[in-house]
Amino acid sequence: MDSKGLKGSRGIIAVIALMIIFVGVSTSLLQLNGNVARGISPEYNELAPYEAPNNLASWVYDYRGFDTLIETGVIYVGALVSVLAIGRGIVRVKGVEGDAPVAPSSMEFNVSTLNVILKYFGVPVIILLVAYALLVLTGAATSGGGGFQCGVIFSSAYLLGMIFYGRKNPLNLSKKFLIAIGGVGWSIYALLGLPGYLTTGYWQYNVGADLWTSGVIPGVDGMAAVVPDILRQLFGDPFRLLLVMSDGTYASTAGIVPLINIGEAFNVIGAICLIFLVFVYGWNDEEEKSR
Amino acid sequence: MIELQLFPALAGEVTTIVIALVLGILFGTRFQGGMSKRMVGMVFGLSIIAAILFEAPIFTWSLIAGFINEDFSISLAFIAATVGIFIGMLFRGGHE
Repeated sequence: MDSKGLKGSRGIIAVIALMIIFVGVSTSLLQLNGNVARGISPEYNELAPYEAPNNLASWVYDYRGFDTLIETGVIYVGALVSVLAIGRGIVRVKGVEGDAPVAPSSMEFNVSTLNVILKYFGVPVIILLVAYALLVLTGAATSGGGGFQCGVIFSSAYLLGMIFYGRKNPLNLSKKFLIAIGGVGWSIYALLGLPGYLTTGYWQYNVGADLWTSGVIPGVDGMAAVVPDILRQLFGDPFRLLLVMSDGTYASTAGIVPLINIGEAFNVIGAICLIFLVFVYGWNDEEEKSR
Repeated sequence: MIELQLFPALAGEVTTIVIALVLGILFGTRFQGGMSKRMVGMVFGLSIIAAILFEAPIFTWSLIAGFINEDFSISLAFIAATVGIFIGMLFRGGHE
């Protein structure tokens, strides 16, 4: 780093900022005095056998809930900025109306220039990557993975098709499809909160697992049973698994967590693929109509 | 030790396979271009190899879910996703 840049007012601001951080952190550490709050993790670790065996899924989609959904919104901000910056053909900014839209440069790849392996294995690899993304999605509640990872893997398949085949991408995702799938994903995620809200008053309460009223947890009386059996069966039974663990066997269900993962996957696919599309192909309505 | 069983298969073992198939069909409709039968066979063969490598999800105990024994199992969700993509391609007309 060039120290010249820290001379003058910038250097003074940097020193003051560092001093504030140092004082804040050191006083916080002194005040701890051994009283470290243990947090909620022990409770969730105990609940895991009664809900999603993948503890992380319980954390991200049950405990955090809408925090995760809004986190996906950050990617959409990136997509929007990409459209604004690169796809000025559709999003007209005041003051530059007189300028011609940015014309994306041609991206016609000649497949004959690819070597044999890339030419013939490109499509199979893309298909297998999409299948792998779906595998990761379906295994979200039991093993590592989830909606976000599915979206990223799927997007990498889309990007691979772009790099190999240019505009003749075998995975043809139009802007309308990506926006629609993103919208459907947000809707699935948000509306899955409704059954819990209508029955318990808590938005996104996991009516399928229903940990607090079903009496599955020994020693936890919880609330009075308010979730109707029909809702418990509708959202819980399709995902019921037999957990054989060292301390016993549990009939566990992740409830709405796998469904939320599908919504999250659609979100991420829509957002990241839209960014790739705008960066590589540009945003040109006329061209899409002519396809 | 869990014994090999065909039934009863808990719903959670089957639902994931159905979801993978349906989503495979959905995204399969987005594929364009033709694929020869040889290419389809190759992809299907590769998907079976991958399914063996990925194994059945943890806490699945029935043959329907791909569990054969604790040392060998197949990820039927992966194969279902691949088959779903092929079915989706057929809807789109992406075959020769």
